[in-house]
Amino acid sequence: MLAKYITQTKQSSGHDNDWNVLWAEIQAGNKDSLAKIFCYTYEPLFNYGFKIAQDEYLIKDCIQELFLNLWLKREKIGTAYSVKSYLMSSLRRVILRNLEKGKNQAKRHYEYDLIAFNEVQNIEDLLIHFETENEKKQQMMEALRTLSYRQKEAIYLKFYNGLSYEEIATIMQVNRQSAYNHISSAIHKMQDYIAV
Amino acid sequence: MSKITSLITELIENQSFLEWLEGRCSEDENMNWNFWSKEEELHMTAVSKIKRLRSMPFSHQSIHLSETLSEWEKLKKDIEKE
Repeated sequence: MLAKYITQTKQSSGHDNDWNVLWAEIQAGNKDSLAKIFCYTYEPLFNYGFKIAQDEYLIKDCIQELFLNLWLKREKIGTAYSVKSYLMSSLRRVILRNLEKGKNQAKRHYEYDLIAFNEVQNIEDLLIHFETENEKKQQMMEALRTLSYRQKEAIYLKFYNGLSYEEIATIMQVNRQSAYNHISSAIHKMQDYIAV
Repeated sequence: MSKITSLITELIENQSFLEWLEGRCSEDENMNWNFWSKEEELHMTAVSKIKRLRSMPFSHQSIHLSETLSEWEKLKKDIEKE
């Protein structure tokens, strides 16, 4: 039953209204709706988490922690502007908290800059789109190398996940203008590499 | 910020434009965007660049349905324990 739902939802790519209905049902204590959101978002959440920390077990544990907390605190959570960005930003916080356990406050942002989107440093692993011609692939690799971690994250959220500036801002815990600026600067830096 | 960067940054947030790019907009919108895209060289360039940006191949790990369901079962057990 649940497997059928996931397959159907993936094919239809889901709809914001459906998400909002499921969200409201979770708040009302409906476990089936939690199962649906869990199963539908598991893969995108895992992939996003894996870009922050390349530790499969940690990411799986963090996703478990995220949904367990969501369920336990369901009566206190408000209406989500965007369920997907709410879950991604919450997962981001859980991962960073787990990574930072035992570290002092002063080191936090520095450590985050080193850890987050570290995968992008290994560009050969990042670009696995085999159909891309070598030259274009090379250009994209060069383009991504020019970006800061924050810019890479914003670009990933925008172009890979199709999120709005508002949603990206929620996830990255910045205001909308900063999200816009990250994307805009990234595009500006990549201009020479995405020449037509 | 250059004109082209500014235009791209605006367009990638425009739902109607994105739907047109993905071929899932209405006939009227399709006509409008087709006209717009050919109206100026800057517009044509922006569309091409956006297509390239959207095809940026980030790595992606596919999770098998059985693994997702097994993770859900794990969560369900934890929920029932609470």
